[in-house]
Amino acid sequence: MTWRMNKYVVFPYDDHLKEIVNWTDENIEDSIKDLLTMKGWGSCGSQVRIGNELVCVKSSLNEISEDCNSIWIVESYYDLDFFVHILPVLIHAKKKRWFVYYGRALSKNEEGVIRSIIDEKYLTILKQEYKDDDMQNRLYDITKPVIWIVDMFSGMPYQNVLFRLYDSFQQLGYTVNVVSKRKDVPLLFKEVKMFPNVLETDIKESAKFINHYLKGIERREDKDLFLIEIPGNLLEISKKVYGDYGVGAFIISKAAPPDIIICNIPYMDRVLENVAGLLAAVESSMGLVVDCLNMIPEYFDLLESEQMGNFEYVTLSNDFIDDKIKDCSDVFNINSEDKAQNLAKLILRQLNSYA
Amino acid sequence: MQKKPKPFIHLFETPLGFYFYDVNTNDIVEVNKEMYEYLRNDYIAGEEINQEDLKNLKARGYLKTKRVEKTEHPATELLPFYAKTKMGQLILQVTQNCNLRCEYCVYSGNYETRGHTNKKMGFQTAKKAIDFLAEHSKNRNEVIIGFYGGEPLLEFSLMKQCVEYAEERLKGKKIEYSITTNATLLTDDVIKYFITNDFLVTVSLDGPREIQDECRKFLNDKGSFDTVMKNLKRIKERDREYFDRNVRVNTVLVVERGYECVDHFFKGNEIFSNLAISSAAVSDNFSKNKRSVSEKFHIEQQYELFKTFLAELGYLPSEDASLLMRPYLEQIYDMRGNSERSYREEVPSTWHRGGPCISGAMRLFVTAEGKLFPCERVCEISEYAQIGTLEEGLDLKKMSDILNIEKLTEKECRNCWAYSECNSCIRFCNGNRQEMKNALLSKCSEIRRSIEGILKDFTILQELGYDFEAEGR
Repeated sequence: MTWRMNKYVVFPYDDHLKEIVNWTDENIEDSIKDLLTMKGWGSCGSQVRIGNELVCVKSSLNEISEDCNSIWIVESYYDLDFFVHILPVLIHAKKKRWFVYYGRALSKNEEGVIRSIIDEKYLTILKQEYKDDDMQNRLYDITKPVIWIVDMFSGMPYQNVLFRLYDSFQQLGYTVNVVSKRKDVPLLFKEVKMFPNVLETDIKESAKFINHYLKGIERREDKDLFLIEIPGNLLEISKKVYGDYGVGAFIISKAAPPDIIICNIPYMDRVLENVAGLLAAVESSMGLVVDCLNMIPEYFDLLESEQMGNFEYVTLSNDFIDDKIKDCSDVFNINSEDKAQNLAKLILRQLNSYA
Repeated sequence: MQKKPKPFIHLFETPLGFYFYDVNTNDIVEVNKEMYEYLRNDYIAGEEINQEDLKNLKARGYLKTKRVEKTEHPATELLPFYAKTKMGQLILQVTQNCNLRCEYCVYSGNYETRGHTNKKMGFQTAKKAIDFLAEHSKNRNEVIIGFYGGEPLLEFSLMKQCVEYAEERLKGKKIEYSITTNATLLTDDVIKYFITNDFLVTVSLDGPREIQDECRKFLNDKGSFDTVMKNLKRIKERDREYFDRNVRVNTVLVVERGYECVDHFFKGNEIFSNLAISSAAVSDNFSKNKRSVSEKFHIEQQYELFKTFLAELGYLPSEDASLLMRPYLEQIYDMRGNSERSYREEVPSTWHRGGPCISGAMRLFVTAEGKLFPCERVCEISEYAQIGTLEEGLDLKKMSDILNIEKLTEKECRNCWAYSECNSCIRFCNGNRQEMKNALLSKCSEIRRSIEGILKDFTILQELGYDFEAEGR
């Protein structure tokens, strides 16, 4: 078997992915060579540093570097019509004989279309195996410490908390089982496991499936702790736009009870005055105690969200958030390596106090 | 001796009872007549009031005296971020010309603003504007591009170029197109194009022939009624579903004339049965001549409102409700219906009255010359209202000034009971700072009257058991 070095073009790129792309490039043996975006997303023409190189974000397939031999199709914050926007890219990939790593949610129909276009040996779609025949029909204790990263509300733009913390724990000498809610990173970096997609299929059995999946990882990998990105959200803030009402997180809390919860919250009107209320609401509705609030540099416009029927966020800056939270002991902004490391140390101290 | 501050409330009565609007809590509270008089007379009791009732009101958080202390719009600190990434609607003034000469048109020469000219937007300017939208809408998945004039269909070719360019430049976003048109230039090609591109079309139509033809005339003085009606029918015949979904009518109410004939015209014509119809009186913002509402108009309008309420409450058949009053019911619901969010403990110490939007950030009006304004309703010759150019970009300082327009009138605003429900903004203004202040203050009594009307109507409907959130409302 010949080994090849994959040189990826990432599609569809948007600014929310900058850190993910960089982090993945640093951690995989292959490399990310080019970035392809949708022209209307505002990233076209911008320069993104990936490793030692400065890559210009492209909007046309014809501009993609000839070096690329693979395409990494990633999750994006905004939806894209599969047939209008993704299919033409797949057809181009087939012509170029690229290897396709498809890391987005797929319907059966879409998967069928992809498989009809891209030959099996050129296609990687990650499927999670979560049934383990060695497991009994019961829940198991997850013995390693479990750290959750979860969003307070629905529709929050993705923040790279999971991988920053992963790096920090590694640097502090701890091995980590990483389970991400993203479908794309686990395709390329096997250390990162994909969170199993069971919540939508079989809610009654899902706690057991998730528990067995994680227990299987724990047994096989034997690492120091779990870092798990929890899909969904903890609370709802509106009756007009809503997520899963915390149902997913509640079920997962039965499968993998958290020892530490890091909760991402957006900046919004009066949120800092109501931190205690938010934490109390989570505890009373979910039975979960949030240990750390991470304020992300995004403003949640509740009024517009309810008017539009979508989650409407406005990207802020880290400096803005740092200024807002400087007098808050309960709220952090894990926006840099050293802040993530400080948090990792705090977490370890707290875990040691439980022991 | 310092005067004791008064509770921040507004008293009103209806045929069904006595109430006060509590500004701090944004709540409407029913009281008995004695309490009403007591509050009206500055706590001087004519008759004995029940002190327990007064204590209960205060215990429930009402009758606070707090006012806003510092004027600052809560979105001020977020304005640079909104301006950078949250632009959602681009309105292109593709021409300043029109094939009609409507008597009340803002550009007719009867207003302190520009008149009709031959200026039209070049494609390079339009392209720059669309690029501007692409660069400033990263936090939007859906955007709207609107075409405005004059009469935008005079530049139909430019419109098509804009759509073609936008489809390519904004790939990955959902784009909605809209147009406000006098509907006299709707050829088959235009109609087909609108349907293909799912345009939202707002047609200006003022009512029956005698009203439409008196005000909305071609350059040769001929009325436009027949042409507009014919074109509306053509759209409907071409695609009924598109017509019902995408076409709406905007009616300008000439307040010197009657109201009933307009209302009956729209109700009596099957073509309008599924269309949204909005109406507004002829604007008197920076008008050279003030208009006065005729008694006939006022009486007929109130009568239609009365019948609409009776129909909504089930006392009359629904067909008796006025089509033109539907938006007013929606306005009542928007202001009072969403009670969970509109409730508050008290007004914040730092705040801004209702009215201004986040100018230029969410919605941007680009003139034919490439000047930037918050929307198409502001005065185009006002330096204060202009927030930049396509060449130089947005002027954040000006945008912030427009957002914090209350600073011009903060002394008057802070004691106004309509503080949070006000809708006054830069659209009322032109001229220098003092002229702007005068223009804003001149609108106050009309705005307060309108808000009080909504409070009263809401209260009466609620007392009579009307469910604002029932199915179909």
